[in-house]
Amino acid sequence: MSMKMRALRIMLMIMLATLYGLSGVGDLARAEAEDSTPQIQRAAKVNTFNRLLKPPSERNLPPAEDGIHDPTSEGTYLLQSPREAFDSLPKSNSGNRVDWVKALEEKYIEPRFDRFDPEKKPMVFDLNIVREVKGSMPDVVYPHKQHTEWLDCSNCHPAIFIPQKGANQISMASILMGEMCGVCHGKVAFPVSECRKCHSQNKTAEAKN
Amino acid sequence: MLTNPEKKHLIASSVLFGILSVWLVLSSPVAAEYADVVLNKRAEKEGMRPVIFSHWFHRIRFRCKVCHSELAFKMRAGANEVTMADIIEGRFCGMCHNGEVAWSVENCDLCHSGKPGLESQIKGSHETGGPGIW
Amino acid sequence: MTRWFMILFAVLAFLSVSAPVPKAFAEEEPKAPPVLKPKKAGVESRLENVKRLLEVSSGADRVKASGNADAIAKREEAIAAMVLAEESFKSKDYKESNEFLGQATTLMFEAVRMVGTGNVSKEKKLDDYNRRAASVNILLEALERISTEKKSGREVETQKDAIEAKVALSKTLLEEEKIEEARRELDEAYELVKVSIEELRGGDTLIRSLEFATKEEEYDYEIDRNDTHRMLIDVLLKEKRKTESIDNMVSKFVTQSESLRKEAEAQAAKGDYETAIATLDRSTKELVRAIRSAGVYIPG
Ligand code: HEC
Ligand code: HEC
Ligand code: HEC
Ligand code: HEC
Ligand code: HEC
Ligand code: HEC
Repeated sequence: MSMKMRALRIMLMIMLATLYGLSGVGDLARAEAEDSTPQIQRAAKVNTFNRLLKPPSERNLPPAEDGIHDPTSEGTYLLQSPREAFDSLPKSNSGNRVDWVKALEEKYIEPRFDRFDPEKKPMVFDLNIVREVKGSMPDVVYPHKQHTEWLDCSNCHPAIFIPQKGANQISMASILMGEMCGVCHGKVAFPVSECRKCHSQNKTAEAKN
Repeated sequence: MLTNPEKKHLIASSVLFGILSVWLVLSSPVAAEYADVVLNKRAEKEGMRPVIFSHWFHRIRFRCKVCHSELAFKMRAGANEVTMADIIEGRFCGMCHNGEVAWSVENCDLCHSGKPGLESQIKGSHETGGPGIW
Repeated sequence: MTRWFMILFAVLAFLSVSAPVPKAFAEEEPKAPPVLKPKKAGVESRLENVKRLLEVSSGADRVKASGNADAIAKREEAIAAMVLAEESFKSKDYKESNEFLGQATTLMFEAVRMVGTGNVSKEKKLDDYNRRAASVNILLEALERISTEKKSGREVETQKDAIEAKVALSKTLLEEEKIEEARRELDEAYELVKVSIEELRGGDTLIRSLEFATKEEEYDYEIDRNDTHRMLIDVLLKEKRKTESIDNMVSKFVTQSESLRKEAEAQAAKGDYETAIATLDRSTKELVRAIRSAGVYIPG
């Protein structure tokens, strides 16, 4: 391994640690608890406790208190506070702590698809690509539907993905480095700590089909 | 090429920086909203505060595609050469902040609202937990 | 190297001492609603902003360098308005000062728009065209592949011909330097190819199953999977490993896993991928055990 690679790895691990420190341990552990035996549930409850988890009072702070807006500028006080804006939106565990997919589906918000024309609608494309994962880690389901609500085909094809099942090599490591799915997830779309949103298809569920 | 001690130096300083960043994220009052972007390639050099762009605010009103099309912004923090002249002419932020789709750019401090010294980057993501990697 | 570690520890020590301070600060009671500062400060700050707009901004540079007499004259007008604003500010008439500043800004915007081409440069247009063309081409390829796979009939053929015709026309127009028209045709082709793909594939679920062309390929996959799990140990167990008994147990499994991985790498180096894959799988299983032993249940 080259020096640079080694340094990169170290950095990556530190980043991962941070990510986890902030997001609460093992989303998977939590997710598992939903459909497992009581014994595991007990363990999972302990697992969800995390002293580094930000208490709600420190989330979605108003601009003047968020550490990047200048509180000495008058303009800062004219800006909307995310906490206030998100009040009526469906919640999630991470990122903006808003479930943007649900917010859109259930018409809490109606973002325009065209700059000028509020009537213009996206062409929603309902194609799922399931990517099997070895072992009993749930398989990844990539849904075009939710993505084409927000994005155009050309945002991803070919800029990020070749439009052919299995033609792209995707690994968790590349995602954490901000490539492939990580171009958006972990930056603007829900972060990588939400394992279950992507790893959504259980092996057992598949066998039942 | 880097010499061996230089490499060590580099690695040591990156590790230090990484740990520093972790510390910063965990304990400082910096709690920028997820996906806020700082644009500060030119602003501060010209005496203006850095610009802060909020994804959350805009995505309530527009889908990603409206801004991330060839007309406007590349999906990479810092990849766009945004100038005030272009904005006034109706490009980048100016394609909406023109008095029609949204308020026009007279009100400098609404965009130029960042604390001095911020670097151009996206906030609140794991990417910024450590130094940016592109 | 040692020197660096010393510095590092010193910094860490300092940080751990100083960390609680900002925390406490952040936990303060919600602040009273912000009161806007007296008008004077607002106008003063705007005065500075407008000065920058007129003197140092890219807009100012562009007007100054343009040689466009009208635009330069507009900027002079803007400067005159700003001078008036400064005078009103000095005589403490902030309202009037603010009005002059508004005028100065509007005049300057006009000046900038006069010299600006108002258009996107030709290179940018070409660049954008090429990007969109890449998208159309790759989607067209996908459409062809899918329509063969699905043995779809004439209808798709006709759609495909129509799209290809538009792409060809667009190319010709581009060669004739009619970039705008070329782009329009291309965009129409783009919309059509989207719709055609949606008609064929909408509602489908495709499964990328794990089938490897060669054992070597499977081995590479297993290496990735092993790396991912090794990363997960650091991610999931960082806090838990502070407890010594847990740390000991985790370390035991990790050591086991590492030695298995070395073994697998040696087997692969000899070309025996089949055995190497089995060994790597055992190595990964040890990592899963390590994670579970710390009380975090992950599938795997
Ligand atoms: C697609 C159109 C569009 C683009 C592009 C755009 N904005 Fe906006 N922006 C809006 C709209 C609409 C509003 C809301 C205006 C209103 O409330 O009347 C807004 C509001 C804002 C606000 C005020 C938020 C608040 O709390 O009230 C800021 C700050 C802002 N934009 C900054 C920017 C910056 C910086 C850029 C460029 C990097 C930009 N915008 C690009 C449409 C846009
Ligand atoms: C957010 C990114 C994203 C967007 C937006 C997107 N796709 Fe995809 N697309 C993917 C991914 C990921 C795959 C799977 C690639 C793989 O398995 O390697 C895929 C696969 C495909 C495939 C291959 C299916 C097959 O038959 O093998 C087609 C066709 C396709 N996309 C068409 C489209 C169209 C048409 C649009 C716009 C309506 C679109 N995509 C928008 C990410 C995207
Ligand atoms: C170009 C940006 C982009 C890329 C690349 C991308 N996504 Fe997304 N994805 C989004 C956005 C935006 C949403 C909407 C939800 C949000 O913002 O949190 C979304 C939503 C999803 C959802 C829906 C979650 C739900 O609540 O229903 C899944 C699952 C998902 N993405 C998986 C993936 C996977 C797997 C990949 C890689 C193969 C990927 N995404 C790549 C932008 C992207
Ligand atoms: C944005 C979507 C997304 C999220 C969130 C996500 N994954 Fe993945 N994961 C993927 C994709 C895509 C693959 C690659 C599947 C394949 O081989 O095609 C993958 C693969 C994996 C693998 C198999 C090894 C590898 O690297 O290929 C493991 C293990 C894994 N993920 C664990 C996790 C864990 C644990 C989390 C939560 C911390 C997580 N993933 C969150 C999309 C995601
Ligand atoms: C109103 C305009 C606007 C909208 C809407 C918008 N963005 Fe952005 N986006 C920007 C701007 C501005 C930047 C910063 C570009 C720069 O720094 O040069 C950016 C940057 C990004 C980046 C790069 C981050 C990085 O670290 O490199 C990603 C990824 C991104 N946006 C994804 C999205 C997604 C996904 C959506 C939809 C949910 C979206 N954006 C909606 C304006 C927008
Ligand atoms: C809609 C948001 C917005 C508003 C309003 C706005 N700016 Fe900017 N400004 C930007 C962005 C974005 C940049 C590029 C930031 C960077 O990368 O440094 C910028 C850059 C600048 C720069 C440095 C680069 C250049 O082009 O000269 C100056 C000076 C500047 N702005 C002055 C002003 C002044 C004065 C006003 C008020 C009349 C103003 N801005 C209003 C968004 C805005």
